[in-house]
Amino acid sequence: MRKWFLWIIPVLVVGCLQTACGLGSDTAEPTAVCDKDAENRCDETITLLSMDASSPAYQEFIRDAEQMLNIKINVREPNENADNRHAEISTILSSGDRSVDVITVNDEMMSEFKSKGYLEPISEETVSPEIRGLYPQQYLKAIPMEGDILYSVPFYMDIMMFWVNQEILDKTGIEHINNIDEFKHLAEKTRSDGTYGYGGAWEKTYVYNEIYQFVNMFGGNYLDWSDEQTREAVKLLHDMARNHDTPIDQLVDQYDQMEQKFIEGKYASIFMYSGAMNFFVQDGRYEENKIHIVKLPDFGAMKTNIATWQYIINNASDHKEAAEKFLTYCASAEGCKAYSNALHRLPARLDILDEELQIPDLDIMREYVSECELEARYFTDAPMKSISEMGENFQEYIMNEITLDEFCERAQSIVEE
Amino acid sequence: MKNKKSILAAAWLLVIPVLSIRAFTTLYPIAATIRNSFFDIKLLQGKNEFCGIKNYIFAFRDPKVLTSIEFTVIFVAASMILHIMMGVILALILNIKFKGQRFLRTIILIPWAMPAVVIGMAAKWGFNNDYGLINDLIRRFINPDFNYSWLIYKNSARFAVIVMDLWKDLPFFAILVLSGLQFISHDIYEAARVDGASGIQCFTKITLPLIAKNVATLTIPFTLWRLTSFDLVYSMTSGGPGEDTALIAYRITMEAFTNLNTGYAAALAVLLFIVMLIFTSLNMRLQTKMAD
Repeated sequence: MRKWFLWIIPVLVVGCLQTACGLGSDTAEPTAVCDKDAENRCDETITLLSMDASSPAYQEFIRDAEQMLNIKINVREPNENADNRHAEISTILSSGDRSVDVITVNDEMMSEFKSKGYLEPISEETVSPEIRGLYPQQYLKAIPMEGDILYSVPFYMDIMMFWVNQEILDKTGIEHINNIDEFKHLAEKTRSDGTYGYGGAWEKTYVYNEIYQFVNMFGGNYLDWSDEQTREAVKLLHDMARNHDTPIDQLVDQYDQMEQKFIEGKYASIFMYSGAMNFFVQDGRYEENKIHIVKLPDFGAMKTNIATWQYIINNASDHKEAAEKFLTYCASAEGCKAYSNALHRLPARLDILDEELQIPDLDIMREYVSECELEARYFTDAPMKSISEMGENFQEYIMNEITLDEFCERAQSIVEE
Repeated sequence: MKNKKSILAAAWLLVIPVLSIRAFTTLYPIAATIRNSFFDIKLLQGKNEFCGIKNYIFAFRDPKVLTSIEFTVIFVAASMILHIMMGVILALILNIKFKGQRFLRTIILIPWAMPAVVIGMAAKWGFNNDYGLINDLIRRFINPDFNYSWLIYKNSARFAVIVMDLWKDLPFFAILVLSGLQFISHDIYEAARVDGASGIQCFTKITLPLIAKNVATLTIPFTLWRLTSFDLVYSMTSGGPGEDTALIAYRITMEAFTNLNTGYAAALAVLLFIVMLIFTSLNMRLQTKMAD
């Protein structure tokens, strides 16, 4: 009896461990938008790792796509933190994980992944040459394409825009900011009581966007730090911070802090992507006499940053055909419009911008597209590393720990790495 | 005899699952980390080449790592000295009998129970010049015109990180010291007082020697936790300004998961592991000496 008892304990322990580890039980399924009835009608199933997964409007968009394409789409949410999301997707692709077929990626990830052989090329059957011609061409070549091969389908575009707080402008009597002198004048006029003419997000991983934007607007070249205009752009940011025309505190600010300060009337203007529109609209602040977008000031060149989110197909996917079907739909006029209207975001296809879309103040956004050169940002092979290094370099320059020449020398080596 | 053997076999069977889990979750990762530290691994490029001790040599030439080592030494030393000094004082206060003593002992542990990431995020706002609690208090009680951005200057950012670390873990340290204090018999103090010892003499000649071993023992885990601390800096300063508050564990995490430079991150982790081993063995020797 005792002997039997001694043997039964290990068996029980192993049994308990098995149960705890979930062996023998079904693994957790990702959220399926397709309902059970639809599942029976679906031809094939794909799993989509999407940054919009938790949005009910996106789930509705996916449900419509499922019905239209007759495929079941399981939507999974990636990590919310940008660094962790980047690492998660890198691991999925590099390990040959087949559990995910389609993934949404940003420019940083795309630049890193496209030349590594982990992405399925997008064929001309999936996205025709005519449709490819409807995206911003410089951008398409710089980010989604490697040589002549397309690796991703952009579905949502962000354009860097100039936002102003009209209440502050009215107080200072400034009617417009059309050039660098007016921009500097705004900074001088608002320099009081903790209010600044211009504010930004200069945390080391965020400031990259603003450095790029100012270099663009000065007509400089981010890849050439010996260029006078490029140097001039960064010098302006430095001088503004040292002269208290913009707060030095923003060296620790990310977009959350910048938006909060902008809303509270601490900044008269900011440079921010168009995607922030929903945030200001939901907050009830987006109005002609409060916060709104105005024309890009001309500092020498009417160039502005653009960024997109894109769909990629995992090379290890077992459901490439269904994934391609979904991407064809997302690149189509119908798919583009459906996404834009559901999420109130700018479509990546420029022709769709001319159509009726449920996006607030769409006219000013159309103006940006027609009047500005839309510039893709440059990324190295290790984008997160170089973005962070550029940010650290910039912060040291702002704090006067290094000179402009030292900053430019280091910046050149970062972009050449 | 036979019965003993079967009991032993059953015992082994019982511990084998635990040992297997331990081997899989501890021994295997350590072995894999040591192996990886000799390889140049770039995850996305599919690069996995033997590079000898190149990663180790580079670690001592990398300015970012040198900055991280510098701050880690400052952080661990400052934090531990303050933990010991203030921890003992706090424990002595908590040992005094007064009304509300139990309540104070309970609420004092709240910061320790909070996740470091939450504390880091709160501290990021707390040290903000415009919205922060710290500057708000200074403006209310000391100088209404006070303006200072704590997290953008090297020294103040480092100071802020150390303060937040103390705020979080000091109460726990104090409670553990308090447990040591409660083992000291009151008879010893009474005897000393009868012999004419003052309060300070009681503290230096009785309390301190009797809790010294307890404090030395506590120093091991608390120092190791500081050496491997990353979450506070990650959420509070992201290692900034520049790299000035990047602790070595934070740098390892960035190399491993942001730069995907696995081999180099493994080499840094092995170096940290060695430092921790040296510290632990020195501390254990000290304890043995104290016991003798």
